[in-house]
Amino acid sequence: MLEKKDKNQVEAKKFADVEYKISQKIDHCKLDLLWKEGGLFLTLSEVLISHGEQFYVIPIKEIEHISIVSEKPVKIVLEFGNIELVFTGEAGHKLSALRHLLLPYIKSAGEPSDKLKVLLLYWAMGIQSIKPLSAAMGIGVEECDMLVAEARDRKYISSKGKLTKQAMELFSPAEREKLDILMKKSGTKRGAGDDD
Amino acid sequence: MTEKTGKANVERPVFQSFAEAMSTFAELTKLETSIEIALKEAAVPHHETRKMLRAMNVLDTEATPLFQFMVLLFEKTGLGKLKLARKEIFRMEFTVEGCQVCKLYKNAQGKTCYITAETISKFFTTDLDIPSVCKEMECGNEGGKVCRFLVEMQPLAVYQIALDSTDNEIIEILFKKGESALTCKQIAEETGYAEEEVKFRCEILEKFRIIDSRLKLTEIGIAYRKNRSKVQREEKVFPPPWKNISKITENIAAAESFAEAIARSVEQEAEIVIDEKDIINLAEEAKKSKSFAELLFKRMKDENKEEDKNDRK
Repeated sequence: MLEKKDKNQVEAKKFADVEYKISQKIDHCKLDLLWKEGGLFLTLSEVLISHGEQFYVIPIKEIEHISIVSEKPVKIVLEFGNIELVFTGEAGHKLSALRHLLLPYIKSAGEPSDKLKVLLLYWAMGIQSIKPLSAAMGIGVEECDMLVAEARDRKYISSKGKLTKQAMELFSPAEREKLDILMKKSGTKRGAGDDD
Repeated sequence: MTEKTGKANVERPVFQSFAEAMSTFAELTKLETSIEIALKEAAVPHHETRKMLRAMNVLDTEATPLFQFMVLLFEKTGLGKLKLARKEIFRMEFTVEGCQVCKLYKNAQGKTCYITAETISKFFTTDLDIPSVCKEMECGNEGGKVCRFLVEMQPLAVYQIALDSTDNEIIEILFKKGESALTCKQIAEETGYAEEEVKFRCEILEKFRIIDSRLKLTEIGIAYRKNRSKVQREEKVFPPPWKNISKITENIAAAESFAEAIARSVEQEAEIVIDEKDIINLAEEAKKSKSFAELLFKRMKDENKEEDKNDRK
């Protein structure tokens, strides 16, 4: 809810000058909608960005993810629905602090657990039996079994026991590079038809 | 924010006032700046990290110079005093009592200390050279007695740093012997190391699940041996950062005054008043628009209308 000065007005505070890009995700494609310069504002419940006289508002509670994609310069991605807002600016510390200001108030859901990522990493190393997997991860056999089942359900592990492209998307480019090396070495190579 | 309270919808903003949001923002900016400075100068050489990784329990870990440095560094940045609650080969659990970060988020009802979790994760990933993920498991703002953080380290990186060339030599001997069992004495004879040294190293290798109690390579041990050479990392040798702790502390203090100036610049920004007609709710638009084309078309139409209006004026 916007804080109204009077009936049709909203009060906001400017945080920084930014460059921003709005994109929309449709299926697996990302289409850039706008790439502009403007101001980044905050009301008591929303984030606003401006382009001249025009303001775009994103209610804080609608934000699903807010993450840093680049440290220098600081580039922050804010995701809601199928829209992605990327903004960057000279005031890196301000933008990082703003992200931390908002983080506890956003709804972040549906992300695969970190345990699942660790499990996939071991899988890539060639450790695929439940007992050694659970021992290495320091979790119970049952929990480990459930994690493997979850990885299969989410189609991170194919029916042939190989890591799929979806699994690789969970990792950063640097992690992916290492994973590729591990998979080549341990014979869990990815390839066409592994996404089943 | 809209909360349903039975009879009517009660709208409650995320922040109670700009003053409250600004004071939290100012503290976070200070923390951000201190953390950046602290982490920039805190790279730890592998041989010091190895001591901490090989420590068998909480007490041994707490006794390492690296752990003591980490506690001091986090305290200096303002994130609070870290205590080690649990130590496993790929996991460490830290707690913070009377967490200052919690106090910054008065209205939050869930976990709040993302900045601490991210700093721990960055310290491990960047300064210790071990890609890690840290998550807050328990938070003071969620009713916890302490804030609890779990670090999960990437296993391969842990093995690469925790095990040294002597360990790898022993692994190689055990691999070559295959199914035939060896004793510590035999390994000592083959490598030329003292038997006591070999015993100690075999204990470490067993702890890391590289070998079993019969000194045979496990499935993990075989996988490690196979992957080790492919992603070999260079042993980094340089003086540990605690030799420069007073300089780091000075830099953090200087950074804090810089951060105060940044926060003040935002505080001094006047609040502006915007007409609702000039606002597009992106979240609502995203829900209504079925496709990019529709959203784009809508936006272009609005812009054209505005231009027409201006032309007529």
